[in-house]
Amino acid sequence: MPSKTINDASVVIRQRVNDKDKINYTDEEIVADVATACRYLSQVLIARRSPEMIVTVDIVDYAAVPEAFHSFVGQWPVWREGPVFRTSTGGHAVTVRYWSTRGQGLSSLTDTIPFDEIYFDAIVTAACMLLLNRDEFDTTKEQGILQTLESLAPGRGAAS
Amino acid sequence: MSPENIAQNELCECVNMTYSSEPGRLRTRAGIGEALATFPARVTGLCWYKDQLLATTIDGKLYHVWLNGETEAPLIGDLTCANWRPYFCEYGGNLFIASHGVLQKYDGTTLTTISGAPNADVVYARAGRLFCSYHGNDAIRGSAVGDPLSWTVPVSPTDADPVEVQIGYKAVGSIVAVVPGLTDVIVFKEHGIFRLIGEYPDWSIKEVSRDEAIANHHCTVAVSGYVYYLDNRKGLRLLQGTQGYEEITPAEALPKVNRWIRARMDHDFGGLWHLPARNIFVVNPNDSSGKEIMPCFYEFGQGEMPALIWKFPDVVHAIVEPDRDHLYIAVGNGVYDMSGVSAYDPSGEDGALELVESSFTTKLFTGFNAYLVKRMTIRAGAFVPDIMTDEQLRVYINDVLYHGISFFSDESDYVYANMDAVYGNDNGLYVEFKDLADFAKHNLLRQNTVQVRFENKGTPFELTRFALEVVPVGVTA
Repeated sequence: MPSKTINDASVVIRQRVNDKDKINYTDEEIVADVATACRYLSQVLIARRSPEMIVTVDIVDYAAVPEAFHSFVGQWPVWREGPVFRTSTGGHAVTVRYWSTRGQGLSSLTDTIPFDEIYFDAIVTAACMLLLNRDEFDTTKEQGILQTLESLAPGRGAAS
Repeated sequence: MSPENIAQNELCECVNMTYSSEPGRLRTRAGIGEALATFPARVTGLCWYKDQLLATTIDGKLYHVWLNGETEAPLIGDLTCANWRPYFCEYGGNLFIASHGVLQKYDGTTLTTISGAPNADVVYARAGRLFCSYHGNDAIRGSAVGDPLSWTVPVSPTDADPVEVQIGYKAVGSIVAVVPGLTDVIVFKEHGIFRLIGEYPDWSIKEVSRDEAIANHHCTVAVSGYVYYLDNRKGLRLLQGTQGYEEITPAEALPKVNRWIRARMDHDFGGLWHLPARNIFVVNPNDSSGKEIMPCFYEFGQGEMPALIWKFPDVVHAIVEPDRDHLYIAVGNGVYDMSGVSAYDPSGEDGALELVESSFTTKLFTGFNAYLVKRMTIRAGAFVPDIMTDEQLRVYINDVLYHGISFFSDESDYVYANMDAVYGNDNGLYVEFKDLADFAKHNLLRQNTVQVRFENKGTPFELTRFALEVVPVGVTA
């Protein structure tokens, strides 16, 4: 279950990027980079077909597509037309499973990171990479760590 | 000078710091503490004579200031003229005082007006005579050789009788100030400078310049063969030798700070004091409301010496230096001891004592790139280490507080969260003072320009070393 807040991540991030005094990076910048890291991680997990990214919803013809909709899981008698779902069943509800992204609408230090704690390090590492990159540090190390963490995440590896 | 156009080892501003006896180290200046004596009118002059500290006030009084803690200063006598900053000269064991009226003599106990003596603004001794000048005529008058009470030139004088010499008769105004240099006496008229060369009767007079206008009679000092003076419009100036044989010429002194002096120059209040035991002379360009003076450390060079700013709670009117270990200063209506016995200034409300507030600022680093500050180390020592204050030495980069330094740390733990002092003792247990310590700081900071500023309202300190790691990033051009 998601349990960590962005503030928890911010404390670790400020230690890793060497800004414990909060003089170089603003809270807003860190929140934005943590949000970017969350959205990036959700795309990675969807690409790996990690089952935790699957969301189930009942839809009717012309129901609005949820904001977090990424793509359908498998094949259904449903399809997407721009902002709406279409079905051939009209007003009869159909249960649809789709890949859902996470990290939308994160805007405050008190927001909860929408991932289990197991992904905390990947999110922190990705955010650190963004922050260090803006100050032109060499981020090769962070990239390596992030790739390793991604390859260890659940779901299919790129090779399988 | 604008802060980006100075060298890395220069400061664009430095207030209430001074150089310690360890050459080149910056330290907080001494405080002036509580007044040795205060007077009903502002102090106009200080003099050290026969182990006595003498003070004059604007209402024309001469006082003896005690140094033993007695703050009631006894009145010695009345000067011949009030509203004037007097000039002092020791001659033959007596002190002679020129206060724009008839010359006076003080022998250590009584002040007497010398009958038959001329009016005097400036008094100096040379070649066995006492000389004086007076604003209002062109003459320098000398006493009889060995007799400072005899001033009348007889009808047929001998070489030992009183003398009188006209300097630039009727030209460039009357005499303002006179200062004996090495071989010459330099005479400042209202807008011209003359040299009186040689000794009587072999005097010769040479014109030096007609473009200089000294501010007042207290605005010139001779410093190891050079003569510095304050010009009304040009600020601090220097008379120095030229390539020509025995020639001297006026020149700009301290071009980097002269703008500061010029902006504050005041015709009536400006002053220069030479403190030879400290290798400094002090510029006071201020009008009657200015509280800042500028000590110039000439041991580091005659033309490019460091000049700092000392800021006081009230206007500075005089400084006197009996020896290397003592310094007395007249601030406002009081006389204070600036010898280093106090770390405090009476700068608080109603003259409450506060630790001397100091600050300094480095060059402004600027360019096409931005700067990434990575770390800073400071080696500094507390000058009065047993002061417990919550005020830190604060180091800013631009406006960002980067480093806060405390010279003592209260290591004691509160017992059972009890914050009350035990038996009224408010000294902390296990308080650790840092006499000399390294203070390191490691935090990233990206800025478009870099300028470091130190500010201290706490423990007086001496800076031993300061290092900053900065890398240029983000070249935008």
